[in-house]
Amino acid sequence: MKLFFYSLRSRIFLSVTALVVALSLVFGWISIVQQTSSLEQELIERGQITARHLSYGVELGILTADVAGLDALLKKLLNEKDVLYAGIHALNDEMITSAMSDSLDVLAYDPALVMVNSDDPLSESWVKKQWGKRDVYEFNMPVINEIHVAEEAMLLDDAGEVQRQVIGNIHVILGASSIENAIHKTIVNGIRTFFIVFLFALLAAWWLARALTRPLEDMVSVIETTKSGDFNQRIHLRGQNEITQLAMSFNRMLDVLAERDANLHEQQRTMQVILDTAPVGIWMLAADHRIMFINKAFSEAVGISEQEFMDAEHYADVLSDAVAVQCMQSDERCFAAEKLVTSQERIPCVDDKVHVFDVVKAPLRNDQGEMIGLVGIAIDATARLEADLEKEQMQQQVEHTQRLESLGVLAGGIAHDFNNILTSIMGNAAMAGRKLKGVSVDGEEYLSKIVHSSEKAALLCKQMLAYSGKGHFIVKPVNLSDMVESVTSLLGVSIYSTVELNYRLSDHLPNIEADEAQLQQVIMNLVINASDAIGEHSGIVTIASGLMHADAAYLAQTVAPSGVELEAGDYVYLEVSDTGCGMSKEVQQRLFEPFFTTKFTGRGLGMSAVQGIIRGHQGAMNVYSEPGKGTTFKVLFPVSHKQAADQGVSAVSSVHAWQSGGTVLIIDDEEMIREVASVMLQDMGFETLNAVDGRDGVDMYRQHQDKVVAVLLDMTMPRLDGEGCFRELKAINPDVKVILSSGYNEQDVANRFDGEGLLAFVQKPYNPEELEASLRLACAETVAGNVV
Amino acid sequence: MAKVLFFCLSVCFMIMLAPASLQAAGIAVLSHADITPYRMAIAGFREHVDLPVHEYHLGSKNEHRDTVAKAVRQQQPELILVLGKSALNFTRSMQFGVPVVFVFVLHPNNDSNKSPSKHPRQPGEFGIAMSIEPEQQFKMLLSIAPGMKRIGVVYDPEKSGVVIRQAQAAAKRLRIHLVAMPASNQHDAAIAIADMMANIDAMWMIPDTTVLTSTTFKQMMRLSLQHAVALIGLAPKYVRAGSLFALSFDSRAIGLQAGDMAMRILNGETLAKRMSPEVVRFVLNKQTADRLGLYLSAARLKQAADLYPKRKGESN
Repeated sequence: MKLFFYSLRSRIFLSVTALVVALSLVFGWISIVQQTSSLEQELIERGQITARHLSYGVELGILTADVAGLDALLKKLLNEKDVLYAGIHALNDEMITSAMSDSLDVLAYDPALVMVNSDDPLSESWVKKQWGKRDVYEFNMPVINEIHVAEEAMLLDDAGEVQRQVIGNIHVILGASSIENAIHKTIVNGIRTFFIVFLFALLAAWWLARALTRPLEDMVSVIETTKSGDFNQRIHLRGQNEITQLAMSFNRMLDVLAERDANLHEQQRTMQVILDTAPVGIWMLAADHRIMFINKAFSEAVGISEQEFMDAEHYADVLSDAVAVQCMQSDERCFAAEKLVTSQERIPCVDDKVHVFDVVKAPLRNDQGEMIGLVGIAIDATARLEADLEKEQMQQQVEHTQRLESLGVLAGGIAHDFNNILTSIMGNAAMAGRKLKGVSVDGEEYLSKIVHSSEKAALLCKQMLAYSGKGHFIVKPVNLSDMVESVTSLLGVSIYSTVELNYRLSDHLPNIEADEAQLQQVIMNLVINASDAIGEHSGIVTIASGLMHADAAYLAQTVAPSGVELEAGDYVYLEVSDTGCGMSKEVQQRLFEPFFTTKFTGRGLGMSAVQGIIRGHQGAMNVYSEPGKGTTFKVLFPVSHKQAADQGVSAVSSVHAWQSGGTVLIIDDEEMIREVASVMLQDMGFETLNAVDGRDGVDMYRQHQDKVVAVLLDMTMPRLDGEGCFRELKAINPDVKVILSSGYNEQDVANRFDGEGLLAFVQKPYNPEELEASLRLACAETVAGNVV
Repeated sequence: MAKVLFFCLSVCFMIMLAPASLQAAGIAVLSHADITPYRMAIAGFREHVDLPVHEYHLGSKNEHRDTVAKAVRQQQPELILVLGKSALNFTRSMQFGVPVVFVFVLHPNNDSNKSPSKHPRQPGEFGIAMSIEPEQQFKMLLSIAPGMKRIGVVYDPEKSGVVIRQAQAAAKRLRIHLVAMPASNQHDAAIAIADMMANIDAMWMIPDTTVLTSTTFKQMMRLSLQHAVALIGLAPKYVRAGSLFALSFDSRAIGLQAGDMAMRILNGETLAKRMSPEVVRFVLNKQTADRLGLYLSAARLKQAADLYPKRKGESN
């Protein structure tokens, strides 16, 4: 009801109706007043005319004193409308005759009512007065007889002045009943008319209100439809008026809005796709911390639907308290500072992992610049952080490996130089021992100690070379279980007596390609370390071997040779476990560092050498250790497909006859090596030529090739190294017999000279016997081929 | 243009050559009011008189008589033209001592028909009688309605006795019967009219102020319609009101006739003291004639100076 009174239609309806009613009442009242006035005026005029006619008619009657005629005239006059009384008076006011309406019989006629204008008897007059309860109009009219003043005037048209002679007076009284009746009738008709007009006014007002408001209602309806997002509705156009023009303008505006809405929807769809598929979390937060929007990607990532976020009044409704507090703290910082803030927040995700998000929160402002919320963007940094961590670890590992490699290079270089020195020491000591044999027992003993110390030094060099992977080893098919059993007898004196050795060796292992000495060194080092871990307490060291298939994932977790990717396949393993003290993580990380040791008397080269040997054998190793529980080393070697029959080249060659003599060309940049080698060879019956480097060696061989029976060639030299020199020597004489001398292992050398006719190898430091053995091997070309 | 210029020069020349006495005195015109018939007559008079004419109005009640008298005396007119009985009496009382020509005077010799005038006639007094002979009127009636042999008239013997006697003589000559009833006041006149009207064919109106008032004229009109009696009017205004016809004066013609008399008097000619109007106008009401069943030939209609009722566009 209240809405009805406030609606435009009802207002127009009521206003128009009220206006019409008011106008009707006003016009009705004016009409009644005017009609009353008009009727009164008409009555007055009628009365005047009646009196005037009567005055004309009675002139002669008055002159002739024809009372009967005047009576008849007056009675006839009473029949006229509203005439209540008529009287004729003589000049002396004596009444000649009069007549009165029957309706006034009960009323007394008051002669005093007769009005005569004594001032101007020629003038006619009227007056309204009360007669009884009635309003009456009394008219006084003189009866005039005109007489010409001048006689001649009778003969002229324009007679000039005439004399107006009053011969009597007429009194006529008219009642106002006709006016009252007419007014009454007018009022009754007016009321009828008013109701008819009122009904028409209602209809007209209703029609007008409807005509005016219907387009507006259409507009409102269309606007309501538009509010729901439907821009296809249009206002129906009616007529050509201003409202129609307004509706046309509104329709045009709707066209524009529809186009904009379509564009907006398209942009929204695009934005929605971007927001939904963006690999970041995007949300909007109102000032009351209600979530106004959150994108699909983020809601899916955290496993909470968008609707749940929207319905939540607070973070805590959908997130754990800790996460909610974390989020709210950064929210509060953003609201307080009203500027962009960044944070890193840890949020549990649908994969049951806690992801780390880099979060940026920026103020959301209205047109007045007031902050009304914030926009948050979260980027999942978990993968990046893990990658960074992995990269860092990798970097550390690379750096570690590079450091180890550098140490290996350093160790190899030192060992190489040491070998050269030791070669000189041992050679000279050996040669001195030969000279003093039988001459001085003390001298022989001293020289023997020199040789023994040199050999210990050579062993250190050998371990250093082994660590660097450049030690001297001879590769051949080896059965690991057999090797363990053969080494077991040596282990008894090397381990604590409280340690029990437990063997679980496989009987049918395939061979591996390995240097027996180095493999032996690996077994010894691992078992001794296991024993040392147990110490003087009782414990068990388990030595196991077997065959296993190692896939890439397994191999990736092992300590593999640097820069070499091991192939998945069958591997023979050696596992040494102890129940000792175990190792901490820090110890495990530094386990293979050279010179790192937990033993008081240790040199820190054992595990380094093991790692170098394994790397040199293209193997891998795993370490499992827990402090207080023990340690397990598992060493893997690739399975060899060669048979054991391949072994024994040197053995075969050793049986061939030895024929000394001739000249041996010594090519070495170390003068002391050239000198000791010359002494050794000369002692064997050879002549020697010395060249200071590869280039010099090639020149000398070209010059003396006819008498040179063999060439003792160093590997590492300035100007032209051993490899280049060997090729040039082969170019001069393909049958040249070359014994390679190097501190590096034979395998490495063999790899470098594979297929190029290298006859023998002697590893520094060597003694006369080892040099002779190599020389014998080289010179026995008719029987044996290459050492490789 | 040249003619206008020539006329103006001629007028100026004539004024310059005029006698000094005439030029100084001229003619005085006296009347009691400035009414239309007088203006027409003065206009006609001026047409015939070459002397300066000065008009003086006495007022309806002679309220300007002293001023006018002084002015006239100062003017020292050669002749005075008097219009109406009131101005004639004034002139007689003032005795200006110059010839007087009067017009529009019904009974110049007495103040009323009953008593002789207390303003005796002056020796040099000339005038045009303001009366149409009864015989002339009866002849006109007979020419229009030959069957109307009984003509009634009500008169005050003191005012119109002479006229009635002239009329009876004329009626006898014309072989018609004149029914004349005397009335000494309006009451008697009204009764006489009422009594007479049923027995006459025509009612002859005479300029008798006792008989003819607005009331008696309305009575005559009403009874004439009631009894089909023809009214013989005194002036065009009665014909206009419903009388059958009237023989009237032409005010301009009277002015011309008076001018002629004045010039002849000033020239020393001998004239009759009383002259009849030279032009009589025949005024006819065709509607009344039709109502009375009278046939009016085209010649008769053409004879009428004024024919009532006027057709649309014609002035009264």
